[in-house]
Amino acid sequence: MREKWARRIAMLTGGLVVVLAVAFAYFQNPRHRPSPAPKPPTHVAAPPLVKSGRDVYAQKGCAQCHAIAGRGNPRSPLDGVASRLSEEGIRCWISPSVRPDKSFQAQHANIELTAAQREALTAYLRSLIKAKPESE
Amino acid sequence: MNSVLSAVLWIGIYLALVLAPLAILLTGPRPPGSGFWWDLSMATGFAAVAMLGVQFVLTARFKRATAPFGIDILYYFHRTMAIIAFALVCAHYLVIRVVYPDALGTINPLMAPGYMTFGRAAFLCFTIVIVTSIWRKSLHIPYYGWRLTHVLLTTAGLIFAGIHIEGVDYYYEAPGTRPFWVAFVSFWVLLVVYVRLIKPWRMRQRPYRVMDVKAETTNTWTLAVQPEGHAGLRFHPGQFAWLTLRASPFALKEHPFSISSSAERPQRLEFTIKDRGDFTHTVSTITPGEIAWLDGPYGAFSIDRYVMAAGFVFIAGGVGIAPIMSMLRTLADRQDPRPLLLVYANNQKEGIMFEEALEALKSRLTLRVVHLLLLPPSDWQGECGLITQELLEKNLPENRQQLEYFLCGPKPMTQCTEAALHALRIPLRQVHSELFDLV
Repeated sequence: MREKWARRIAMLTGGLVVVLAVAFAYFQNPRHRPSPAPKPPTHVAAPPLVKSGRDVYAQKGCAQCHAIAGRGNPRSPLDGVASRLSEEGIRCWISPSVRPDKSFQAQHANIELTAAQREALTAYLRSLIKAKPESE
Repeated sequence: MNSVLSAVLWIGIYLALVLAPLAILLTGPRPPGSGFWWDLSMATGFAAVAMLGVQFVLTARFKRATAPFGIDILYYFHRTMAIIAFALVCAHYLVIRVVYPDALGTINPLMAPGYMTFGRAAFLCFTIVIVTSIWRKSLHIPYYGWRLTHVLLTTAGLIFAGIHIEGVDYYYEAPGTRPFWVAFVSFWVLLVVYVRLIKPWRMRQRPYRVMDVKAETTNTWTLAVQPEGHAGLRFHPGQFAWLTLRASPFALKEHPFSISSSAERPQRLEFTIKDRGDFTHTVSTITPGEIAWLDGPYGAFSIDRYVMAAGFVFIAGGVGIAPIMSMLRTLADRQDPRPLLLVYANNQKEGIMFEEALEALKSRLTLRVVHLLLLPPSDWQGECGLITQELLEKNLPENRQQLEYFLCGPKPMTQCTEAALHALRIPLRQVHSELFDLV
């Protein structure tokens, strides 16, 4: 009898938690847009430095915190980053030591880039220009 | 407070604690969405940590919180909720693994960000805890080792999960959210400190001295203790306590045993203990004068919760007679006139405990005792076999539907008896039993 009630309350709690989690995800994404589907990289004929930057991006695990073309962590997408930041801005952004933001520094503490890697990564990020709307 | 109201209140507090993090996520300021599946994964992660944190409260043995339910059922609930919470942890990981595999990055702790490694470490801790708890006996893990590992791994897992949440930093920047999470995780860690350090320290201040160890059968003993320099323990008949002997209260080497003595005589507490291996195997070697510590009383298995009952039926199997002896002795000390029936099942005649004590109680109570043996000797005059519907129908009084039923014995016996009573149209709310051996 008591076992049955305990099971019911456990199931009720589990159910409520799942409902609230789904509600949170739903309200966070009002139009219930599906998570962006991974798309193939668009830099088919990219210059060597950009290709090298793409390799640096992959090797350093940048996708743990960032997404490009729907691949990686969607919290901080980098699509069109070159339309938002200047080259200098990007360079600054990928040099945690010059940023005053301590949590940013902590999250990037294990990412050490050589000057060449920084140049390549900057070139790659510079290639991520926001696509123009089709109507234009 | 009415016990139903009290139960509803505690269930409400439990739900509030578990749901608080999700409610804060839903109602507080938050960054824009990142896709349904991503946000669902984050929410299940938060919810799982909240549920795992509350697990500490369920086993913290707060007497007021356990009283309406009985601590056995809270341990059962703790076990069920742990499985549900772990399923949420798995869901948190699997959604990312399937939908956003690149976001997981490398598993190599030298290359991965610290907070991701802590997340993986927390997952590993919780996985070990679940596997070793569900399959402890199959894996032949000794109880002491399991218990110590359980405490250490759950605490470590929760701290690691807290560091993971702090490092991931989502839904964490909003005003009030960070202090909430820091307070949330700190509270559970402080709770562990209270349960594992402060409570044992308080137990040490209230020692008991062993007065007597008496053999009831070839493998069952009654251990009597009395308080040393303090008032002792007030309990309801049928309750139990955790007993620590030959170890420090800090050592986690405590065992739950039913009290078999009268609740009206708290100056001498008796525990009837059957040899089941490990600690119980050493009871026969305990000598008068040794020091013991008690944590209790606990349990909702008591006649005192049903003061208006027309009478009681007790159905015991083997050493399950212990809490029932406490109830019978207490009723005798209270000169209770209500009709009582005891059905006492054993495998063999040699296994019958308290035979003389039961005979003596008959003269002080309106008590009928029905002995039942599975393997009776040739000259046995009593009932034989298992507890069946027919046996109960034959022995229960006419007013059987007005009585309260207390069942204590091996799980198969309890389950069969519950089914038989149900078939006899005895309302299940009048049938009380206790759960043992959850791990």
